[in-house]
Amino acid sequence: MNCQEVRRHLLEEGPAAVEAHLAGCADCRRVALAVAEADDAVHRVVEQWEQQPFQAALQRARAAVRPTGWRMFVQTGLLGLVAAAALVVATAGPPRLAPKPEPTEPTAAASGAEAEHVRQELARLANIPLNAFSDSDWAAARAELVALEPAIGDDVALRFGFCARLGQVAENANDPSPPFYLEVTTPGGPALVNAYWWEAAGLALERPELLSQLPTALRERVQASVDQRTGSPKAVVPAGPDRVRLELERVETIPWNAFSDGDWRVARTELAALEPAIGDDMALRFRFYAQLGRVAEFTNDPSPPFYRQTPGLGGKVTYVNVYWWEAAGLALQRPELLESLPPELRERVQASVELRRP
Amino acid sequence: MTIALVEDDDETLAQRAATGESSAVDALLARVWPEVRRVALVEVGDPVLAEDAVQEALVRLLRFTSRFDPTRAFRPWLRTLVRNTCVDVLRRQGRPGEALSEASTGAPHPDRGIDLRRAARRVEVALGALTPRQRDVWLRCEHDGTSVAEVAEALHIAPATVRVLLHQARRTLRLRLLTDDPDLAHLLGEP
Repeated sequence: MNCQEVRRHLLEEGPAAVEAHLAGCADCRRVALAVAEADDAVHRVVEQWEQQPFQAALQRARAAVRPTGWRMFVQTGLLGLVAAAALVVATAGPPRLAPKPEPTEPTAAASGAEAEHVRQELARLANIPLNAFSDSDWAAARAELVALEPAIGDDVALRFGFCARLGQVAENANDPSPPFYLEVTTPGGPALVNAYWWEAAGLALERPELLSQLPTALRERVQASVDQRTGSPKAVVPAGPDRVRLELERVETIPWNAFSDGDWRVARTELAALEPAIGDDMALRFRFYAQLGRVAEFTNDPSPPFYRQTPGLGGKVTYVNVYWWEAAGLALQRPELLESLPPELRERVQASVELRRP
Repeated sequence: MTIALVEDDDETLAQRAATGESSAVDALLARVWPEVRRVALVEVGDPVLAEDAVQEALVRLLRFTSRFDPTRAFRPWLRTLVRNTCVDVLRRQGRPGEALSEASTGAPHPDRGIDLRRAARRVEVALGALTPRQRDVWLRCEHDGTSVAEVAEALHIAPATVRVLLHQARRTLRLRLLTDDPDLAHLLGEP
């Protein structure tokens, strides 16, 4: 056995295998001693690490999940007060149309920089299409979003939006494992469910109006969890013009400040996709154009195909909202259609009528 | 902790914990505490980072135990939860290789009298240089004293694979620790 072999054996087998060589070689004795010291050091570190006290860690964990936020409100029955306060603020005035002022949240319970950061992250994620990220990117986004959970505070609406969006991100990650997917017992039997949609569904059962604040595709996924929780048969989604009417009824009730710009962009895309389903009903088409124009304005994104340049009054080139422009064309043919709109929206479409009037 | 809680199996204890019974939560977490720490160390490698993962895993356990389905086995659910937590912690910290690079330990210190904290940190970095599978095998065989055959059965791999992983782990750990000393590095033929 030469020195190289001894040293290789020392690394792989430890000192015991080469005692005979060690007796006559000082260098190798030094390596052998160092190997033994290294082994001891690793064992000491692992032992010390594994003997960390449990109670202190448990206390820290309990402090992290203490129900100081929305859970406290749910558990203490204060949720009703928050909801009532939010309702008062939300109904204090009609929805404001453009120019869009700085948002003041209708549910003021969870104000502050941290909650605002959560809102910004949710809005950012709402703008990312599924195929823009790989599975691992979505998993990373999921991890980042989960880390924001303690910052949500008391705002149940924000909690609901957070759970719905996190459920979506978890689904995009293509990794149905705990704690994002869990086996639960439902009225229809055991099922693997998206845990955050499940939680969002729980909130929606207490406050059904929260569902209307989600973009259509996401709302349908959370609604499916609500149905699963309650054991209700899946709701039949109507097709054709009835689907358009249903969607318009929902969109009409959403105030401008209930969505971020990103969510409004999603809503705009989803609503625009329903245009072929309108059929021949001119009144429905008019209402559709007026509402889509409203949604497009709330996105704060005056880009084609929702906005375009056109010669305005006095020959000046101006940007117009394409769908209000289309609605104005119909109103010129049937002026009584304007009466079907809420006053503020009517004013905006009327302005386009004036621009189009020969 | 009552005798009844001690005698309950994991699933029963988890079921009681899910109802909000705090003594059951404490008993359950105390029981799984060593496994949580071991899984975190295996997955993360660096004990400093693994400590973060353990703490976050505890928070998640407190939060999600109510979602555990007691008709299923608790330990696999626990291990998956802890592993996912480790993945999240590693992602937040950057890739494992970056977190555990030599740069984080500073320059090699030739002096044998280096302080213990620095030495411990070098060991932590060396542990982090192993793959999770190598760490798992090293901890089971070398640290716990479990036989190669038993480890092979537990991990559903061949005994020969266990031996290979164990040799790789020993070699990596020792080389990492010994080659901090230029003289030893020279004797071992390492740059």
